[in-house]
Amino acid sequence: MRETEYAYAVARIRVNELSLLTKADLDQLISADSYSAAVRILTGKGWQEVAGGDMCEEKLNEAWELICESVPDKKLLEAMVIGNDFMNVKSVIKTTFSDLKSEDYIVRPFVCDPAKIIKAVKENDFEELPDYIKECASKAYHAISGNQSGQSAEMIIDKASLETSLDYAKSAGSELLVKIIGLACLVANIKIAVRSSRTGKTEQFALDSMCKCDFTDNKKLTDAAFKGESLADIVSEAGYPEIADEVDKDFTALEMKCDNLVTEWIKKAKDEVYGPDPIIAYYYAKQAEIKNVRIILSAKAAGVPTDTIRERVRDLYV
Amino acid sequence: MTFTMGTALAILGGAFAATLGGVGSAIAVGRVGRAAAGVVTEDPSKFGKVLILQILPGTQGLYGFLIAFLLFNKIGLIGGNIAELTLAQGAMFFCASLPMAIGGLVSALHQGNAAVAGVGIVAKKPEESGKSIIFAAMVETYAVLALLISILAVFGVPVA
Repeated sequence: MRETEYAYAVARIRVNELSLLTKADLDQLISADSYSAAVRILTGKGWQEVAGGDMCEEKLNEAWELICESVPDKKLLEAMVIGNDFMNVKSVIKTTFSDLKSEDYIVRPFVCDPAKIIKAVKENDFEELPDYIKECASKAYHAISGNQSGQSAEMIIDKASLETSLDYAKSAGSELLVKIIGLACLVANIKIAVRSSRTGKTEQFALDSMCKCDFTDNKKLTDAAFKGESLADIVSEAGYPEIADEVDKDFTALEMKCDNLVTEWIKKAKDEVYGPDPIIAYYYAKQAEIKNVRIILSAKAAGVPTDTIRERVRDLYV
Repeated sequence: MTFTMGTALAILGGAFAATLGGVGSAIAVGRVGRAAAGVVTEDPSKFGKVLILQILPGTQGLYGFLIAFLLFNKIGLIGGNIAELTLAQGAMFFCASLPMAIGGLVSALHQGNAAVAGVGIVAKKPEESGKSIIFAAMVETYAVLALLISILAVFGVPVA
């Protein structure tokens, strides 16, 4: 699709970027006296309290509706949220084997109708599901029903989710999206390698659990992790030198670095007038904003000190 | 009345100026229109500001039309008394129309891009909309220069 086709969508996004929370807004939220005071600040900024619902999810749904209305390329939309379908498969399978109601754990937005997933899992018949999800749903279901192994099911779904997201990002033709999802794949593989080595799993287990991506050598990554060597050179070779300093530290610091790095990348889309990048940037900016609001609200509810909250919040797009 | 190759070449020059200028303007105005529609969907009060930006790259189409009109008038096509031009005269008229044809096409497309970026300024900082108009209008300079050269050249070609 020609980049100029996005002119309408980009213009709509630019207007809506004005309603994103600024650094000053976040500071005000962090300094709020209590949880209810923080919620009052948010409602003053146009966030609506939802009876029995999640105000953050509501805000993300609004952003998604705007993107769906304006973006001319369906492939891009699918690439952005295809991962949620796998999360829905995971939650539906897990809730089916417990007393919980599957509908309460559905993540939005999605590509595949969750009702289809629920029906497929309940009937143990996955033929009606789309091709990208069919095989992993069936394997994950049988991993839980046969071996009672929730971990195996999660491993199957997470791996398929990342690989499918990366494939969709590539076919959508956005370098920014490929870079962002590529980072998610790399970090997931690092976590698997390090955790497997720490918990006494075999290298083969780690390799089987990792998603396949063409920019990194999983064998090399696993070898280094199992020998306790630094992973800095491996992530640099994979094209992500920005996280090299954090990769050998704890995962919380690495995750924060990755979130801030994605924000840094999407900020470059501020200067673009055509193409899908401003749309992707807006969606990720909205997700980052919601992540920050959730961090602040849950910290306020738990009475966490202001300085600690400030350390936890991520960089903003605006 | 005899049509010569020179006359045909002169008419081709006028057609070039009108067509390429018009094509450039149509693409650019359409492109800005899409962006403008995006802004107005979210905030209808900005219609006036984005309309000015949409109009700007439309001028190249008018300039191309003007050159074609002057050229056709000079060779008598409009009055019905077409001059019998030599091949050299026809080639001169053809060359005279090229600055407007090529300059018009290229400047319209780039002015369109500048105007789309300007629509982004109106979307986020409407109080700075004047600056966005200046950025887009700067490109107009080169369309005007091309127009002037084409006019001077068209008037300068001798017709017996």
